[in-house]
Amino acid sequence: MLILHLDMDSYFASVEQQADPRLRGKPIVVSGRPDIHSVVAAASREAKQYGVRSGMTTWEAVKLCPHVVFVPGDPDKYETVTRRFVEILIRYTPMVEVYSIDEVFLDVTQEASRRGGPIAMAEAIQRDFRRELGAWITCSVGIAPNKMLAKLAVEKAKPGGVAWIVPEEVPAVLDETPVGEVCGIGPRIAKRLDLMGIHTLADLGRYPPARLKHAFGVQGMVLSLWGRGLDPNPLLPYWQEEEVKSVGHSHALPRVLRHPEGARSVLLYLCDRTARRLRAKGLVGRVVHYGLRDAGMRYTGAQRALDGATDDEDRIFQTALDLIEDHGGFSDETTLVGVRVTDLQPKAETPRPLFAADDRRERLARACDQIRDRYGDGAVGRGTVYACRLLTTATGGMGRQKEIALTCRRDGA
Amino acid sequence: MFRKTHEPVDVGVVFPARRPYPVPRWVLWRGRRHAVDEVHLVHERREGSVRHLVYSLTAGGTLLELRFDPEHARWYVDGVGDEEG
Repeated sequence: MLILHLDMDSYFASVEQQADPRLRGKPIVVSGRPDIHSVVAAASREAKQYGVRSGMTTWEAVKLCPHVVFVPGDPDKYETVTRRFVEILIRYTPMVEVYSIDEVFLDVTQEASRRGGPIAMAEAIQRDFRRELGAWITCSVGIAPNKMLAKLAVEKAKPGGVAWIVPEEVPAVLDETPVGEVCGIGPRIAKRLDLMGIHTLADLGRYPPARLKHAFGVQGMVLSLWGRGLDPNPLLPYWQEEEVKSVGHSHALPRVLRHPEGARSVLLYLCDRTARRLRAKGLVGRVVHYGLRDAGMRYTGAQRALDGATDDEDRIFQTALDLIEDHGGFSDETTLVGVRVTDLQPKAETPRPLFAADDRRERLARACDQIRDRYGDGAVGRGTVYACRLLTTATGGMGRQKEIALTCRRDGA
Repeated sequence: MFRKTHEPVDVGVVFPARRPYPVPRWVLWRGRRHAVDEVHLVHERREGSVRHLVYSLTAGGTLLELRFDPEHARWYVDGVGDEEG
């Protein structure tokens, strides 16, 4: 098996530098608006030299690099470029998994030998990207026998290179890789493993699988396989439908909305978007979850099952709101609001509304969806969430890899 | 960054057979015809069901954001590169 992992270098920042030559060679950061305490979505190579990293707050970035240039994120731009690079990759193989907006896996087991081997193939892809997307949009490529190892390999290839972990090298890679460097082993699991005397992947591989399973459940078996250089996660090609398990949205609040009334209006806005996505997918859900984060970075959340499945924003909102009030209400400074609907089923399999009023509400929602499909999301909406919609759309919302995979499927790319 | 504007313009375009988007060659803007020096990036901007094409390009030494509205088959300059970038 030969897996390629492509990771776009400083993706959003590189796309902005490609679009605007005056940003090239400068430390730039793509973020929401710096004045409303947002986070760094991407830092250019030049900004990274000052220690600026994705996920930092914008004020931390300024502290490290006072002359950093802030560029507002433009999800349409990144989505277009992702779709274009996925289209290039599909010319090489149909086995392309769109893992995130800037990361892709390819299974090139069949194709590599016809293209002069995996390294030649990776370099040809890099040349195609430079020629068709622009010289500033570059990628690093990791090659390995599976996804987990390919993701480790790409770290050695950054920026802009190619690295191959051949099967003979796997034992040495397992020996030298700390468990925390593996995608899927977060800081909490890494800490628990550390307490168990497991520091590297090789330690993980030597640990009795039954004890790992006892400690981590099903995930313990996956950890054990990773420790032996194996990966049970198959490549999910873009053309394969993925089962939707939940639909929801969350949003970090801009400073001006960090009060109970602001958080309430963002919740309503997110319920509106969640319900619209449910209707677009022809789904209804029976369990509503909410999540909040306060200024002290404390998370709260809970869920409630409804007596019947729904795609109605008011019902989702009222359920989430009741839950929040049952758990003490919004804090004085809520910094993040999220809502999610699970236990999904096709709407076609649920009964039609019994009462005329419910039927009217459904028809109204459908009519509003049609207007938004045709004229854009801002064409019709509730007046009460207007200000919050403007603020939240100005501050972010990226990561549309599922939509990109869907577009590629639909367009028959 | 771009200074926002909204000016209808005439644009000369070629439609290459093997490229995904049409390529502007000149822009008639503010009474002068500017040759397109380089197209830096093309992206799609969704407005409802309509996908506008947005070009970041340099024409006559000026950085422009040019938009094609496919619904009405019209071109607009939506942004002009300001001095400090």
